[in-house]
Amino acid sequence: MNDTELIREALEQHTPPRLTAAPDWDDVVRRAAQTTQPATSATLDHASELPAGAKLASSWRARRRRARTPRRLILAAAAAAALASALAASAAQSWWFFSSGAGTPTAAGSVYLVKTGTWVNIPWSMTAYRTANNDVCFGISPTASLNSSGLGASMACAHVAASTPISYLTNAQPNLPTNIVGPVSDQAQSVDVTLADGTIIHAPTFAAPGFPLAMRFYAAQLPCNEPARHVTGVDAGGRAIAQLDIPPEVRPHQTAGSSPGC
Amino acid sequence: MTTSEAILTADEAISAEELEELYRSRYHRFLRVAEAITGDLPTAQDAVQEGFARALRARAQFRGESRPETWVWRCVVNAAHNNRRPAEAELSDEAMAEKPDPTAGVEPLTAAVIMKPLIAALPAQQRLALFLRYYADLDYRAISEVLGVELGTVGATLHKAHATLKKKLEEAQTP
Repeated sequence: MNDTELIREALEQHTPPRLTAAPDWDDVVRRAAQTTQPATSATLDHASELPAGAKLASSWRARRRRARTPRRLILAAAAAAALASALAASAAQSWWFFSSGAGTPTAAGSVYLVKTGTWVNIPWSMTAYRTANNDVCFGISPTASLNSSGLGASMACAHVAASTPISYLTNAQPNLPTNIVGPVSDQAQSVDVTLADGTIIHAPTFAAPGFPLAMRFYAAQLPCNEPARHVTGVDAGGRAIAQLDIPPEVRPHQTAGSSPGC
Repeated sequence: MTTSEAILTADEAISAEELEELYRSRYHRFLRVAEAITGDLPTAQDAVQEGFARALRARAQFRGESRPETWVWRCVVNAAHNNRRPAEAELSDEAMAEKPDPTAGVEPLTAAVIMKPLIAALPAQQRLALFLRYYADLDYRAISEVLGVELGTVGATLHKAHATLKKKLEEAQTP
């Protein structure tokens, strides 16, 4: 064997091929979806309602004690945000809710893009992340401002478990049609949103690939003048497995012309 | 929403589907080069995953300075270099001076056993050129794009690597 053949053989043996190693593209996607640490805080948009950071945290804790109303939050910040879960289309940037200075619970891991959609020709994005004590913080934003100001965005945090298998955030403001979004038990195939007039909106649930908590999510546009009265998670067999009432004081109500689609 | 669904931009140079196809079709070549760089399989697997994840995240920023596949190779190679264990890829001249003792009563040394420290002692660029040539089966143009060197440099780099290994091998075999 000459030297060249010896070198070739040595290289073959130096690092043999690992043909039994299995590729995992889903893992690549999950890693690509992971964001970097949120950026430092930016100035707040005073044109929006801005609860103080302490209010956000305490209302979130209060929500846990009462297992009831998620606070309706409108947070805005001047930082850009990156999208997760699907594929980031730009370099890592800060999420509007971390940059608002409102004391948003810290994420234990990645922020996930749960769903995107369009209502009344307005693209929206729903995000969620897990906190250190396994709560879920979830929010919805016009996609245009998810990337910049957070204008029109809302978020809430809740503990979704066997005792409280559903939560919600209902939102009405000028930048996005009236809507209701939230997490629900992973057994729920759909969520029924019952309106004040008795109409039921059936919203399919969806998974967020790679999300670290066992749950699904839902998002539904609501009519302008009929707020939601309660939300019910329904399993594949049509059985109600979770329900929360929405107190009148947090039901958004919009008049004609005050928001898109109204 | 599927795990491969992409948010595409209008001027995207590499689609997520193309990246996935590249990943699936060439995975074991990427893994082999990564393991050659990092020195162990789990670290190499992580490097391949990270390299592709970076490519996936940054594909909108790809400006076409190279072919898409070689750009991805750079992502994976960089990830492998970031992950590799320190101090195991480099050998001092003293370590290189130790010669195998044919009278020690052990099994005859294989080419790999003889060559492994010699390969590790190569300059980094020569070593990487060898890996890309032998393990990834890249042509000289692709290697030049991955290494970030002129095309003509690749041949010279590989020639030097061979020459160094031959020289060290002869020294190692000299009683």
